Amino acid sequence: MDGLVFFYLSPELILIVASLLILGLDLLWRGKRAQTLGIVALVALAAALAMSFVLGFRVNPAEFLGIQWGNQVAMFCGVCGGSIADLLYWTPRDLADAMYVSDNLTNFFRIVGTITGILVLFASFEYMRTRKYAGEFYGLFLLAVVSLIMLAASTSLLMIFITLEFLSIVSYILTGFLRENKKSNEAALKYFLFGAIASAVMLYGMSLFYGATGSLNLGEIGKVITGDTNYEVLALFALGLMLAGIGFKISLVPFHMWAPDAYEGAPTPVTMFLSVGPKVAGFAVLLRLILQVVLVYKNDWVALLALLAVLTMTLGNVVALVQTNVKRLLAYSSIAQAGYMLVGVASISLSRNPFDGINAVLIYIAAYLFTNLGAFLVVIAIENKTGAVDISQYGGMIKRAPGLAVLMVFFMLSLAGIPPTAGFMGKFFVFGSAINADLGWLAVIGVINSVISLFYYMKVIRPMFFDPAPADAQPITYSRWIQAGLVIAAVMTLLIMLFPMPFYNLASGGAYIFGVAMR
Amino acid sequence: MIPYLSLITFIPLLGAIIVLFLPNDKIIKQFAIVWSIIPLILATVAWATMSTWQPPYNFVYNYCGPAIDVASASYTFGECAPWIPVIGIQYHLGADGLSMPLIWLTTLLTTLGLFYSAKVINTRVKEFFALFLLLAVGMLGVFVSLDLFLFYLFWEIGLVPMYFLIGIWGHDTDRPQYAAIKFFMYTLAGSVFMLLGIIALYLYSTPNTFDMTLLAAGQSNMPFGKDVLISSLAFLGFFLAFSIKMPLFPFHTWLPDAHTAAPTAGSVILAGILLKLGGYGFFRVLLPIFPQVSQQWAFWIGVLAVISIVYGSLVAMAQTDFKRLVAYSSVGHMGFVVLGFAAAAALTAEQMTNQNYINSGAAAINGAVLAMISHGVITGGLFFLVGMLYERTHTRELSQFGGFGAQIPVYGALLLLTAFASLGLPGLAGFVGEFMVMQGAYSTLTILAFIGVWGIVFTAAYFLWKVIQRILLGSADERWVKLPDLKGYEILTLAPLAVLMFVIGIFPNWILDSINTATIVILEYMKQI
Repeated sequence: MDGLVFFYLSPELILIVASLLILGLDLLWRGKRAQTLGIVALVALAAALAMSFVLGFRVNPAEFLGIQWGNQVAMFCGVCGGSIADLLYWTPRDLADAMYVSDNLTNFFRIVGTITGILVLFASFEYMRTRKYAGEFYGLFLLAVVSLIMLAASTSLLMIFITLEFLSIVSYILTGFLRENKKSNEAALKYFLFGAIASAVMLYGMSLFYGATGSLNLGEIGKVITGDTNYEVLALFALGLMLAGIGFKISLVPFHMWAPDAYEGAPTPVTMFLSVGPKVAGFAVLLRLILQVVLVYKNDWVALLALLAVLTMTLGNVVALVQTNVKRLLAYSSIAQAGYMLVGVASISLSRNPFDGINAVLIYIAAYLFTNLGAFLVVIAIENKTGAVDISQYGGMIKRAPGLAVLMVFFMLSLAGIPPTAGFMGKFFVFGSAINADLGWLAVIGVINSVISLFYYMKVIRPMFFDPAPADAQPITYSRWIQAGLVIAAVMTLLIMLFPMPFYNLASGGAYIFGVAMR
Repeated sequence: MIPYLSLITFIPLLGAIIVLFLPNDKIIKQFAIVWSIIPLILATVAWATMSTWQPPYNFVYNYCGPAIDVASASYTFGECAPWIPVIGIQYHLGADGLSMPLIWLTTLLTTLGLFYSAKVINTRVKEFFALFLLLAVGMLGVFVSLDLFLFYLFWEIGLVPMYFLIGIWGHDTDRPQYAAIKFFMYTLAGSVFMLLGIIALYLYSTPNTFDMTLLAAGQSNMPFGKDVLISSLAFLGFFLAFSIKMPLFPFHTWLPDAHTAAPTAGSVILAGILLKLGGYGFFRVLLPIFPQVSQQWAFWIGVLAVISIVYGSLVAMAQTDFKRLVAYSSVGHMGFVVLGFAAAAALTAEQMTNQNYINSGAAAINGAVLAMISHGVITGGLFFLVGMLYERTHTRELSQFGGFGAQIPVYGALLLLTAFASLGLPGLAGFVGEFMVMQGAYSTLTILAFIGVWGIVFTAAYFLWKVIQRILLGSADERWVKLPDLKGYEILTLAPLAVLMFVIGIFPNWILDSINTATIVILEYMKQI
């Protein structure tokens, strides 16, 4: 193993080093030159993204580094073929003892996490320029990204708890980052209180698993629980308790109450991050928990997740109907979106059919990532110039910023799942997987929800196109960073629809390990 | 070999993009009109040369394998390339006698709509012309797609431009924003269930496919086997989408609002083409892919059709607003199309062996498709006429009008012609299709045919009483003394439609022959009950 560990952990290591560097330099430069630090953060994220692709495409590490590794080359040839040997562990023992893995699923979330980070940074540069402590913001933000990646890579209860807390604490600080803003403070406190309770409940669930099986490792716990059907009730109960912690990150109903307030009060780039980063990392943990621990008790977890999915979709969509603040509206929208993703999780059948739940969730996440980040980029571009976060202030946007208005239509259609957008592709796979798993009724509830959601997504669009601009309205200009972010988000949202194969391969690569491990 | 269908579909898309970069309104208008003539010419050439494209020369290119070659032998101008191989989604286009007339009508009405709009639309010109061209892409795409995924994609793409056309250029008094979102949500509510149906078809077919030609009965691929429940549910998904689009009673309530609020050219496209997407789906998807379920439900679908016919006509009679009246008349006319579907679908396995019954089924399908085309021509014309009158008088209240036959004779003559065509006067376009539907329905759904025929009577009643009597006859109000008659561009807009009303009415065979080639294939599929 030795040196290869550094190779397999390079994305995380790059981010951690860069983050500490930024925090140190910020101290040294006394808060000046924050812009430079932002660029450092950006470069670090880009490097981490590049390394994730290198790992994801299974490049032979020895060849990549140009080093002779002797026997270890042979050992990692399985890596090139993509077999189970692809897994890397902290401890060089067998699968069951891993605490932290660098597998395809981790790589998928590395890519998701770093892309989220890059797009959020694009949105932050202009936003943070006028605000204090920008350097610290970039340092903390990198920590948030790295913690979400580490959460996705954890396969032990201990690691899951530590990384989840790591992510949570950084998120609390970022939410309350506008120190003089009361709303921001309130949001951070609410977020913290909810988070603390959710963590405690999750710990209880973990303690049940540990107490029953004597192991912290997901694979080990899974083996014990699978072996004896007497554990069924315990497994369901413990899973339910752990869902409190994970559901808090994903913002599932009934653990969603923090989301609208936190989203509204947090600095908008942080809202943008919260709406994607921690949410999708939560799905990584959920996938590992379902597939490695409780898989055999299929009826139980399918019923539990399907119920939560229905509640989450419906509540998110119905409450979003009456929102007038665009950040709150997007908060409820992101709750509903989590519900659709959960439909995918509930539809996991481990059939070799392309319409499998794991594929569906991961494709949905890829689609949601670009779409939601794009929508927030538009919101931030408008907010930077006008301070407007209320839908009624969006009047005549087609005259003031035609590009933003048209892109907003595109992103809203994608969130609603109307082609030709990535969101449609995501829904197509999610509902397909539900039908494939004989959960047709869940698919029906899902599509009814997406019709309901169209109403409020169009509510954002309506004033932009149909209402006249306010008398004193100025054309809205926005920085090149935001332009670049918008172009990336829009192009990717279109590409996932038009050429889905690379994204499908990426997602099914993430799904692949379970297909092998569980058979 | 020219890929006609790709060109016809995507040239408007290219046009919409070019429009965004053009500098001023005048150039945009001229460009859009000229550009839209290209697909019209292509569609005309394609239709004229269609009969020369027999197998094995019916494909422009086929990279999808020989199975597709065999299954889509009845389609010409075929194009097929793999798109998303992992779930077997293909870029598969093709046209036959059923879709070609509709493609042609779409390109024609698009050109006429742009031509008329160039004169009357003066606000936000760039957006209007770009959206209008985009709308054409969606509709044409539905008619040329032979892959259900592609079909769904285009089906939805058409919704967005229509939403904006209604919302932005609607008259403030008609609640355009309400009408626009209502249209969007109603149609989406139907089509999402169709999406579930499409996915179910894929998952239950062996080998798994989204290809309509492979899924059609008789291609040895019976998606649901004998599973009545699942196949009925999938059928229901498609049926909901199509009948909301048609619209069939009781899903019609979006239509009067959307039609009334839309700008003139938008209403023309809405009535002329968009409603036909639903009708097209009945014959392209439901009959060939679900012949058994169609047969089981034929009577009840026929009942809904007859309710649409009678109810639509009666409600139209009660309208005081000219545009709403025309809108409700569409409900009645589209009822005949569904009745034609039901009459053909009702044929039992036993009847399918009797040539008389097969002939009446063929008459019903041919008639229904012809009724769609003539309704497109006639109602397109009627909405233009409503718009032209509104431009002059700024009201659509029928009670305000009177004496226009003497006041503006050219307008009067064209309105008279179109109204007579719509009420089904023999010799004009509206008669042939509805007559053939009745002929087909008489042998399989006799009772429904007897009730449905009252719809024709009511239609005649409201056109004579409400339209011709109220608008053309009587004495003119002094407000209208100086009303100008139709201008050159308005006559030019209506002329092609007026000519078509005569031509279809007197020589329907040039369309019917084309439709019949597709009908024969559909009837072959239905024999697999």
